[in-house]
Amino acid sequence: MVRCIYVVPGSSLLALAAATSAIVPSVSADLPFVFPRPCFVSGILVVPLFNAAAAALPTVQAGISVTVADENQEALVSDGSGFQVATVAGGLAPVAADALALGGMGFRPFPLQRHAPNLGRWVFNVQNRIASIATIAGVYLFTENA
Amino acid sequence: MNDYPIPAIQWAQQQLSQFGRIGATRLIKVPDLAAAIGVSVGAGTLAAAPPLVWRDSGTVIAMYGQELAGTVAKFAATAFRLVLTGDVDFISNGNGGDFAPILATFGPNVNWFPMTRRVQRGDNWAVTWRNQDAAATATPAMLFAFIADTDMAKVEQDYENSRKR
Repeated sequence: MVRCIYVVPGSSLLALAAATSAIVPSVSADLPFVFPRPCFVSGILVVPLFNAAAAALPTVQAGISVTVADENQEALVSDGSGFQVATVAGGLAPVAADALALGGMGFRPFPLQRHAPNLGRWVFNVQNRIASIATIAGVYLFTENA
Repeated sequence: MNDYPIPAIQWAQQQLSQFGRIGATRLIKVPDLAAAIGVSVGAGTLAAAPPLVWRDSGTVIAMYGQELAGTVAKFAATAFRLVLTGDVDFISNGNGGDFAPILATFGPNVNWFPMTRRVQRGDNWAVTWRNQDAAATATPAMLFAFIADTDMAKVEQDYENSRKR
């Protein structure tokens, strides 16, 4: 059973700039999270909050995506090619997982099976593929005792 | 190839499908399209995603998908065909490969679709998308919940620990 829910620092009420197209997202700054103890990470959930152009929450949810690098700087989300997406700011961003695909309309945490060590540092980025500013409630990690 | 899952994989899938709890050690995404799929013309507009070449051996335990509009109508109008290594169609009409809508596969609430497929490094999966919406483009995405063989030692240990409880 879940023992603790961690909110990734900086993700709470995080506003994301507008994307220039559905293919070119805007990307947040790195959002690092340091595990205060060894944890078994059993889930991740990204909750969108608001987007001026999209009243329906699932539409906002569909346009938000997340990347995760684990304590070894290995991408938890990847594709076969190592392809990285171009971003609004120029440069490249890691491959991201779509919040709607992960959490569904029921906002269930995406089931993970990962062990994080004491003081393990995971780094998150949140991407917005909607053509207006989007705000998220936060990125949440569901953990159990290791 | 025997795709019947070993006990630890079966346990992880059961946890995922019955309880929505634990499952993947990694998420593997079908590479994004370079552009949105154009509006439907005739029987639908097709777009082939860049091929997914598996970089690690392991087991796929579930499939996830969505369309950027996030609406049930778009899920119904966006279909995919998935061809596994060796030209094996995951979706077939009996005579050959075919398309299935996102809505039929993942439902209106965007659920996971449980599947069990072993993959080897270098295996190549091909996804072709079909937009049947004559009024709007489509930007779909597909991901796979994956347990890499390199993560199996920890999964096996988790499985053993769960049996002791």
